Amino acid sequence: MDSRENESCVNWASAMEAVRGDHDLLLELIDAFLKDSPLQLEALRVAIRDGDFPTARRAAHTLKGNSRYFGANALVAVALELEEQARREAVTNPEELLEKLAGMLENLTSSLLDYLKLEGSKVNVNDHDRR
Amino acid sequence: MSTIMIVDDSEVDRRLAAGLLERKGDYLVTFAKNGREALNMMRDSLPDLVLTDMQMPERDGLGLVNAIRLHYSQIPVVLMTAHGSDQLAVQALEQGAAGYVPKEQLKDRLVETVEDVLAIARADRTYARLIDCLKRTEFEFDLENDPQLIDPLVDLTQQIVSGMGLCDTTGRYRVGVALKSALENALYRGNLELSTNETSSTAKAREQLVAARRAAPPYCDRRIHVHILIKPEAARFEIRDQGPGFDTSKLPPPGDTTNLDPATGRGLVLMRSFMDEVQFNNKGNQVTLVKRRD
Repeated sequence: MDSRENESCVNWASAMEAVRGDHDLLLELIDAFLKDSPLQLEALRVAIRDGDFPTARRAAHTLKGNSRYFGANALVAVALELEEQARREAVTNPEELLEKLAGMLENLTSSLLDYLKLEGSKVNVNDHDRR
Repeated sequence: MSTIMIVDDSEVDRRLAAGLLERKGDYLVTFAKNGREALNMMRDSLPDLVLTDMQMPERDGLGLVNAIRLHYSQIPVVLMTAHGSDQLAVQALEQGAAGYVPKEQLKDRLVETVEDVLAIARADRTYARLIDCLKRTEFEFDLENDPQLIDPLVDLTQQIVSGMGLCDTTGRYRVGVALKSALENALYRGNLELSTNETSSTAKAREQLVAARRAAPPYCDRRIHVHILIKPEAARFEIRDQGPGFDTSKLPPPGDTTNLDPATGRGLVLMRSFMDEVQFNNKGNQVTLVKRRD
């Protein structure tokens, strides 16, 4: 496990706390995260490329909020940095930050997919893109 | 069964809020991804309550609150606020929202807040016509530390402020929410001296603690004194507890939401947003709220 992987591991205690210990709701939350996060990341990429700061700020804000439930603090910090930079309408090193965010998101996605497989959940793992 | 419309551009937040509501109460949940979609849906069918995010594309939470106040003032709006949206939330509360829940407290506070606002919205209108003729009302209560006395007092007050024409339907919820915040503060933080953590703990844990404190000295001998004076031009509410008070010099100035304790600061934000004046006495055991005619 490299350091980047360590940084974005899921904190299952936080995740269970967010759903008041309801396992079925946790599976629903994971399902929603796996569907929503690639869309938000893509929206963020396009918005930064086009200089559309309000959209970039909102997409980074949503990614931050979504990741917070899973206790992925390092990912939350990078998303927050992008959100703040977009708010100031001055994104420095966008490529580097986006790459970092995408890598962390990929690791978080892998951990969540592994969990779904392990749980043999009702959610169809193949529905989600392992990006 | 009450219908709740959840408006949020994040699927994760929509599913979490819906899951928490559906598991705890008899709710039918509908979804919209932004304010524009919500307003389109409301043309066909009105929910009993709208629960909305603040930052969304198309039409954000603030825009949605304004539109609902204008076109559907009978529908209460509750905000879900993410860290960093506090200022926006205060603005939305000032413009008509009935309450808010920080997103990090959804699991503990969402159901309770939605239930409270719905209960206030349903407040009995039995005496509506009679109250329409009322010119002046003055009440004095010495309440024992029973949380069950709070809702009837809030309901009664709401009927009177609304019947005397002090405010519209949305204003009625807002007076109710502010008064309830002040009474709960006097009960839990004042007379029963629950700490910040204890106040924000889960409903069950808080219930047990409240029962234990209510039975034990010195808490059991304390009362909440409430003096309410309502005239057609303004209402004045004085709420005094017999607890030790708090250092009022540490309160942030109105409009400043930085360093606001997320659990206990919520009541202060609600009171300041919904009332025209909020004053504490020096000891910090009495608050005076004034609501002038809209």
